[in-house]
Amino acid sequence: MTGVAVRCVNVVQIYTTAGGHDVVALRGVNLDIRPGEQVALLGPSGSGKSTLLSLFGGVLRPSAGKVLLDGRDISRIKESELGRLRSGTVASLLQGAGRNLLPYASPEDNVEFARKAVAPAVRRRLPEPRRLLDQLGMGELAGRPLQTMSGGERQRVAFASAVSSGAGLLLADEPTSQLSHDDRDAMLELIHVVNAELGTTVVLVTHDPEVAAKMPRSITIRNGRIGSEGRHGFDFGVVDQDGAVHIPDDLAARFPAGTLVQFEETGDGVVLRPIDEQGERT
Amino acid sequence: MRVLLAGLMTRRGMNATSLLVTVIAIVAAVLGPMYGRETAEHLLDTRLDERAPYTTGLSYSVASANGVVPDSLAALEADQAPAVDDLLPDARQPFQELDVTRYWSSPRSWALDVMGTFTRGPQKYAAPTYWRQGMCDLARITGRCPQSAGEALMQATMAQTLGLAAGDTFDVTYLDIYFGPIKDGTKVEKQRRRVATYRLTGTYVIDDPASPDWFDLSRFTGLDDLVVPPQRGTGAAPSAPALLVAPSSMVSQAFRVGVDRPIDTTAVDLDTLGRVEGVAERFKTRAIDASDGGQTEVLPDLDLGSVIDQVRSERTLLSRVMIAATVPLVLLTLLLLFALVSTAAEVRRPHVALAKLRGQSRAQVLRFALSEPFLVVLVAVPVGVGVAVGAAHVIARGWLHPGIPVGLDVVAILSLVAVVASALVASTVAALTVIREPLSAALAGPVRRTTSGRVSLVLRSAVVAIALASVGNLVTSGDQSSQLLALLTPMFVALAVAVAGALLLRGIGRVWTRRTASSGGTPAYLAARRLSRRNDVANLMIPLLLAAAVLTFAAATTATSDSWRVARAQAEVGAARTYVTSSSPGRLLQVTREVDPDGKYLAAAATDTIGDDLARAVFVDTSRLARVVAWDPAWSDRSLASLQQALTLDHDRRISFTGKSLLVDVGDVALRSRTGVRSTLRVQYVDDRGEQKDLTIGELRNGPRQVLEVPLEGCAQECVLEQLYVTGSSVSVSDVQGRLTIMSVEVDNTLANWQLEADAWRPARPFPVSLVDPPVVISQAQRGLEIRLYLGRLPAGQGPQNAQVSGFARITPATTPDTAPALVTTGTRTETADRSGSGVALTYPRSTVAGVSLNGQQVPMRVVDRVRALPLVGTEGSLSDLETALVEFDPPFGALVTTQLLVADGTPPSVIAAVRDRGVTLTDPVSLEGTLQDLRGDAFSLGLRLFLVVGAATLLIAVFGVFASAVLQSRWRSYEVASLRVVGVSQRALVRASVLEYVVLLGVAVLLGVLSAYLSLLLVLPSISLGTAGVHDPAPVYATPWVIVVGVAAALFVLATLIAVLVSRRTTRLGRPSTLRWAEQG
Repeated sequence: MTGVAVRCVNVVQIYTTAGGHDVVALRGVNLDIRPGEQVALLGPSGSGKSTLLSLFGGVLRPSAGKVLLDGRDISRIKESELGRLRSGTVASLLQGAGRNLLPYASPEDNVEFARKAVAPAVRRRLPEPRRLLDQLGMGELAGRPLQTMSGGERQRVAFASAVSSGAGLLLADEPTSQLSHDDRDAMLELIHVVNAELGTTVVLVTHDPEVAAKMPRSITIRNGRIGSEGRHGFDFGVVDQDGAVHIPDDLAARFPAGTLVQFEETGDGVVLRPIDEQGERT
Repeated sequence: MRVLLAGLMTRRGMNATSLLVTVIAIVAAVLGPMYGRETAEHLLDTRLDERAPYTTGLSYSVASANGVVPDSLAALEADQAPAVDDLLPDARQPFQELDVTRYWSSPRSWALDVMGTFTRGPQKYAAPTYWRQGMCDLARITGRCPQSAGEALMQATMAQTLGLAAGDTFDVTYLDIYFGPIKDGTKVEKQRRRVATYRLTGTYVIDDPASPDWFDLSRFTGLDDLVVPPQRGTGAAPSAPALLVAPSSMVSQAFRVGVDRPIDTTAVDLDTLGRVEGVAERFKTRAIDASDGGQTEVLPDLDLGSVIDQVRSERTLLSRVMIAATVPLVLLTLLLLFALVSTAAEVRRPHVALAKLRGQSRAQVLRFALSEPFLVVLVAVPVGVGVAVGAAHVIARGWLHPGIPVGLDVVAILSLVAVVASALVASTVAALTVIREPLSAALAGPVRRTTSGRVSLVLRSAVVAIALASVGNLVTSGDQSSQLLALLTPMFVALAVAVAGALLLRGIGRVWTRRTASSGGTPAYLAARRLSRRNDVANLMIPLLLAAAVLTFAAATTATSDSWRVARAQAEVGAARTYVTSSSPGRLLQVTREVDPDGKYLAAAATDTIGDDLARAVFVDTSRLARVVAWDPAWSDRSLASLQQALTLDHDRRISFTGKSLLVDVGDVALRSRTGVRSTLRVQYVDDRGEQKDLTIGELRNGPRQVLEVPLEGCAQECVLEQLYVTGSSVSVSDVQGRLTIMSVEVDNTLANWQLEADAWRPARPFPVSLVDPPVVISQAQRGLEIRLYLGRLPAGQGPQNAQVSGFARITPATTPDTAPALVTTGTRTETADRSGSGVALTYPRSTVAGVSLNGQQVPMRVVDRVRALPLVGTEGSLSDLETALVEFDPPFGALVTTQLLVADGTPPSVIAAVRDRGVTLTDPVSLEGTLQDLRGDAFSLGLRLFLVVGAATLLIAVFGVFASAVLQSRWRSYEVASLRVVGVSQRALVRASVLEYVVLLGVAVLLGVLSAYLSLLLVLPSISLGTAGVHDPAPVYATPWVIVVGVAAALFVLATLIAVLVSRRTTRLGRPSTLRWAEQG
């Protein structure tokens, strides 16, 4: 399967807390991810990045807006169709290796379990669990009990399970957290391999700027909105549908909330100047 | 499959627990009906065995002469009795073409002649001759089997008694009947005496009289001796054991030839009952037809229908008890199973979420979630059925009648299906609650869900409504037959109380939290907080509460039932063992005191149970009452020792004497009689052997002085004076008035101190006219003891003048009071003894009642206590001192009194042997234990015992379930414990908090359970059928057995504390700070 295109159109997500309060997690997110693209979602805790990932995986349905996978709106489809989507199109790697695995089953059995829902015709084209583990360099782990493995090994088995269905979209939530540097790099290497060899679209959530830097595209979520995007080592602001744009953190101190600004068009762009109440430049 | 097995192994503790609980539910569901059926089969076989074989077997016989009397002596001599073989086809006729071979054993032919007699001394005995097919194999023979006419086997003891041996001859006399010459136009029946001489070929002993092969033991008439019927006066002639003879010896006019078929208990079971009954009915009809309206002899005894009716009724009862016993157990195990599979489903929640995340379809997820619990159930089925069948076999072999068929019947299979279906439904419901959860919530983390408030409320309301409706219906309908509903009451009440209790406990938790938040210690606050927040309070409470209620109720009901049976056995048997004897009460009294001078083992008794109210009486040697006689403390508020004291007289003061001759110096004799009766002075005393003796001292002649002398009999050691009396020369009618004075008494020419003072003597009973009119007045004269006689005529103008009443003028030493102290049952109607009498009438307080003494005469009785029941007479009658009664009322020969030897528990065999050595013949004893065993073997008792066993099993399962549930929850609880430890709460405080919480939770459950049982006992215990009682059986005592209630509560409370400590220590041990990291990593 080739990579899946992901598109968000004005996605708003509101959830209700245990105390009965409504909390806005995403505020009109617009995002396009091309097939085969590798994207890192960055942002502080509670910014909405994991929520966005859940929307891509059909785990959550948006309160408003649309989430389109390869142009198909998954926001309003039936649960059974979502299930089919998760069985072959979208692969999710949850935060914490243990949450992606049956702790009592071997790696091979876990991979087998993960692709159980894949249509038989598709499954026949997929590599057998042991072969997949071999291909991903985990052949020696195939029969070992999970309890005897290190955190990195378990995370790699979890990754193998997630991608075993040959999905076109890999959604990974903090795949490198709590891993050593070597294990982190090995995990990123696996992600790149899958992306390169299968054309799988990769969206991963991370707190780690170093991890984000190793992805071709990184999107920073702030307060439920896309704050900025990083491409090829550079950070860019993103203008949303309303024309709003986040001021980068390093410049935000110069523009306290409530600051009046004046836009001044130059030949190759727009200059943003703070002014006082009298309209004078500060 | 590999994943499934790996999962099973990983959660082996939980799965093993689920497996165990499911197995228990299956065992309960299957074993209940199997046990019920087994017990019903057992009861069927037991009832069939209990009955005499001739009441359940088929028998038909024909008479040799069929009532035809020869016309003349010549005809009699010419008539040859038909051979037994010639009559057998007729005797077999009603059996033909019936399906009897299937249910009744092979036929056994017989012939019996009961017309013969023989004489020994002055007594004539019946001497039946009996031939039975295979008799020489059935009996133990010394010698050889009779083979030809005139040969006979004699019963061994009889031969010994008669001094006969093999080879000796024995004459039996027959009376042949024929018609003599016609006189005055009518035939006159005549008799001819004919003596048949039998040569003895040996002797026989019947080792197994209970064997159905003998069919009807009455054909022997006696088995061990020349038996005089123990109940004197019943009119039965003495009889001797039958002579066993060859068929050719049957030559009299009136022998019978028959065929018996005892029932084959192994062939009859519950399924074939109806057919057996039908065959028996058809046989009966055929037999009546075959006899052509004539005598069918044993057919009226064929009583199979009543056995079958009894078994059916017992089976119905057992089924009800069985259902009542197993329903709470099955319900409890299903509740526990549901709790366990819910916990298991909770544990597997992340795995189910993972399956959904991987896109598995609903069916796949369901299969994944259900495969494990279903596999547990499927494994449990063969295990449970195997255990149930095995247990049924063990029970059948160990406890029940041999040969009971064991197998799964339809009810057991349906019950199994119901339980398995319930287990599968419980697993499915638990799995579905997890599967239905939104994926996002399932992935959110280890946050436990709360149950639906509305569903929970509806369920709880339904439980309470059903419980209240059921109990209300039972209480208001007053239906005594609602055994099933009554036995289910504790379950209903417990469920209702559990629902209310859970709410109450949470309320208590909230109040407690508020109080401890400001002023209480950390453990109390933590315990209160957890208690108020737990949403599984009902789940934890219900099992223990239900089990406590069912067990307490079952224990109390069984205890009441058993106490009642013990009381019934005590009333029926009267002591640990009771022997009937043909000796006189006086003789037995004497022997028991000789053999057992300390009164530890034996007591003599005489009972008369014919009649109503005070005509039913037991007379016991009350000096041994407390030690020997069986007594239920519930019969009286007073102790038996104090009752004994009130009943026993001081017989040490009685007048005794030793010697060979008695001389009485009589003065001032002035007697007159209109009928010319010559009066005699007599003495009544108890001789050395304890037998009552009457001696005529001499005839009284009017005059100033007369010395009467008589040799004494049996006073070599010590005789006890009972009465002096005057009667006529003929004892039937006495008409004597006048006076005499007893001036002195000498024994062996030595002055005897017979206390000849007016206040040392009193008139003795029975009085001839009425209860209160003595025919004699005693006064002190200058020369001695003056006695005025009014036999046949009272002083003019002083009361009824009934000259037709015969009687005696008796006086007795006043050491024996005129009014006998007695115990009378509350169910006995009494009349006061203070009726109006003559001028010489005795007066009694209103509390004195008119009782009946040993010889059926009325006697004033002072009621010491009104008791609920008495030994040997039950709920109707009186008990008084035998020795006192004998002074005035020795039963004459032929009185309807049974003399019994009461034997205390632990009496050495040598004591009984010593009684026999003194010539007292004793029958086989009736034992309290044996009677109790019989009473405990009825359907009611068996059912209630099962109820108790199931109650105990319910408790064990509940304790196990609660413990398992608490242990399984300890993993989640450990997170909270870990968090509290991180913030600095000490481990000790955490353990104490947890123990406190569980003790309160489980303790309240125990207390509410016991309270539920108490409420149920109050509501329904009196309406529960505890058994079928006889007319005079004591009634059950429906008092709450507090010892049991408090005992069960205390034991359960200890158990609850133990669970609390174990679970709390485990939870706190698991709750390390590292637990939090482990939780975060999923």
